[in-house]
Amino acid sequence: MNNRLINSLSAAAVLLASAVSAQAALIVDTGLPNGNIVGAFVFDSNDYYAGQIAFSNAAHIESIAAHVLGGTSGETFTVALYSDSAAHLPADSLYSATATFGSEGWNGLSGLTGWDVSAGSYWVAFEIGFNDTLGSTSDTGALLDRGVPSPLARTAFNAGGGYQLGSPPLDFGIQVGAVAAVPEPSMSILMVMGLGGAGLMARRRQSRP
Amino acid sequence: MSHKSRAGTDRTASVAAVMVVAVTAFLTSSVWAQNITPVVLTFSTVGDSRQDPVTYDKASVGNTLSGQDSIWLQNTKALARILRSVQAQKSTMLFFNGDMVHGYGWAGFGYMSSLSGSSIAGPTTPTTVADVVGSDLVKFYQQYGFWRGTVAPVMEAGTYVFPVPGNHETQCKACGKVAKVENENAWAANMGDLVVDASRFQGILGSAPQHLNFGPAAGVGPDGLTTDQSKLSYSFDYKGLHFAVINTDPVGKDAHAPTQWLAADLASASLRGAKKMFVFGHKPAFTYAYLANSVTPPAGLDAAPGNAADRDAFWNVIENYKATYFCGHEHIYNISQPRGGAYQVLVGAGGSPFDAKSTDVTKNPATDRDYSWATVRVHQDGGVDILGYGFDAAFGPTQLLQQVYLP
Repeated sequence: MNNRLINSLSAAAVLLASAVSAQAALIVDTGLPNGNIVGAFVFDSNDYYAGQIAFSNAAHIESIAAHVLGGTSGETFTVALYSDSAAHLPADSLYSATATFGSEGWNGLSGLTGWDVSAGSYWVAFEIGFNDTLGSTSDTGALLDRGVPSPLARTAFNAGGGYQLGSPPLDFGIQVGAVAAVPEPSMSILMVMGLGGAGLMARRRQSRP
Repeated sequence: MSHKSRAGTDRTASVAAVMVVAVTAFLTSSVWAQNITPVVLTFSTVGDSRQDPVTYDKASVGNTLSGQDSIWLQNTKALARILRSVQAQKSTMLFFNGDMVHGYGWAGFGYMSSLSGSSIAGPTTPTTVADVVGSDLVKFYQQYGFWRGTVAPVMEAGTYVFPVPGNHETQCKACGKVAKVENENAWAANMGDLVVDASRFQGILGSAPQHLNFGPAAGVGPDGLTTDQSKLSYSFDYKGLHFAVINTDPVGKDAHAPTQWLAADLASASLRGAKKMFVFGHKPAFTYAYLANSVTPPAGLDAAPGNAADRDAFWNVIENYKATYFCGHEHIYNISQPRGGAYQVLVGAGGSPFDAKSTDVTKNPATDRDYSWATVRVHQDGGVDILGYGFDAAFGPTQLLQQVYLP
């Protein structure tokens, strides 16, 4: 096997391995908000918030966080992923999980499994469900502070009557981490077989006088 | 000498540093001590949700009122949202500071005000259905019924609603903006059951109110009022706190607080050791002059000529007992210390047309056209957080507007 062929197969193997063991990257990061409680958005069982995110390829969502003030360690809230409606607002709930508040700052979910999405637009939502407790023991209640340097282009809030577009976009803090979707095992086998075939053809060409 | 002096300087510096650390630690710990004690009671307060049939705020609610709001004259969207938020904040009491109905007519028999309230006909014995349903009396009852229906679920879900009479409940506009006994009677008929239903109170809050005190009967009170005030001014204790509701537009004394009755009431509460006193009325003692480039007409207890002395006497009572005064009437949000002591918490933007028009240049443009309310959290040590909340005229997301801490 010549060096060129070995290099090609090595690169393919590295690509395959990297897809399997990829580290989550922040695909959305609005940056830090200002930390002020005055002017911050009220985050309670009547007031929810969501931001639209988009994927150009299939992906696996690994982490979602909002910048939250006014909670107490151990209190809970809900993080959900919605599909995008025709009106570009949160539509159907795809995934949902309970997050636990740690301390003021970025709070949410990490190490998610099974939150897989195909290419397209989605909504990441932060809500206080019936059994959630976030903000129940603080004076101000929970708040989403504002003034992030890079707000999402499309945001929504729900003040009890369903989600509606935030206009201008709401400048609260969101971070979303994701990795490219891992190919299915059958796809990986096909890919290896293809690469092997290409290698054999190249070898046959080289062995011709 | 220099060595000694230097040693002295070092010692002085060390002592100063220790003192700074000690003072800082004390201040820090004292603040923490006040804030970390548990919240023993949360209540909310707002006023003025009535809609206006003519001068509604088109920039906020649109060019035409909904059929519902044009009949029952309520800003239902704003009021309902505020009520949802108050419940989300787990307030167990809501003081509604007046003007919950448009009213402003004459709830006697056979009177009918024009749509704008600029004129009134009657008394005329009704001869047709239209005469009856178009009468001021029926409109009062109709609007009260709608408001009561709107707040009824709030009561059922754990928040006792205390009504505070406003000028739209007690006064007749076309009669010269004066209070009428028939209007006070209509108030008593439609709100009196809430003043105070000790059984419902206990069912909602877990224990009964203490030391109920109702306004004086006709002609016997210290303020010389001629009509029965027992359902219009009232007070009670709960969890060592004192709550007093006052009628700021009683018959014969429009734009006046029942200062002598309140002084006696707060004195009694003080003797019982009330940790904090909260007073709720409709009209502000001090008008919030929100216009930046022109004079804001006086609208509160300072409005009528010669009222200033009476207003000051009222405010002396508020300050003497370190009370906090919550009010409405001006459809705007403002928390102030008018004389540097006691706070006046103006939360009159519960849905009524904003005083600050969309074209006005105002002193606090970030909040002057916000639908708003205050939620108060009382801590075990008696410390109080007053939190102002609101959402803008376009019904945007709810924000924390302000936090005031009273030790």
